[in-house]
Amino acid sequence: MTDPILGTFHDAETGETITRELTAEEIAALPQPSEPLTPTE
Amino acid sequence: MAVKTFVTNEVLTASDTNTYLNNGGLVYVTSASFTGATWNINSCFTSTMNHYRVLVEYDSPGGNDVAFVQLRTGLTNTTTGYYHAGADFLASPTYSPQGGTNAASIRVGCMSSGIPARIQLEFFKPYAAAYTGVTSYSQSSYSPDSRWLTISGGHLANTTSYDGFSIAGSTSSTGTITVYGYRKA
Repeated sequence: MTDPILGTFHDAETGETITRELTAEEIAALPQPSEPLTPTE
Repeated sequence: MAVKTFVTNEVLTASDTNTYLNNGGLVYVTSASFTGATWNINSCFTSTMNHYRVLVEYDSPGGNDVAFVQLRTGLTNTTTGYYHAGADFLASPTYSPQGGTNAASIRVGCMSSGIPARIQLEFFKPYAAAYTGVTSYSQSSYSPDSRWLTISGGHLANTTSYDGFSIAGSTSSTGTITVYGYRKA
């Protein structure tokens, strides 16, 4: 079983900050790297 | 009053002080601590200011990963229409060009597990009914001896008004975002 993917949401107007598990739609919208991160040094 | 020249022994009045406090160039908007794969801020862009500076501090990235930015309206991220270019610079010295056309986000930085990474973002007219411009500078390290500098710029090619943004990085990351706005006058 994989760990849940969390996100934090802050509302600048109310000052409220919550951390919760991302929905399936939010996970699907996550950007994906176009290529692997492969440092050369 | 944007500028006043004070002379020797002149009294700094409450009025002058308040005027200068209210006419600073950068105006604090909000700040919060974040954790997780995505850090999202709503309602930070308004009609009060046109342009914004955002300081993203990944104090402890959860892994070796890339950071991406998306604009946000209400509770929804826009996931297409980003055009951007940039490069990662290493201390080797080498560099790796990056970019995207009609992409899902704008690539703004790199991070390595447990090593702090910092990203400075500029958002140009996100709240206006115009293309939103984004530029970024960021620094990080893959190891203590390998420095990274990432520079990027681009825009979101639509005329939607955005009131917030998201930055996606490595899962289990922790840190802080602080938002400032540029006073119009």
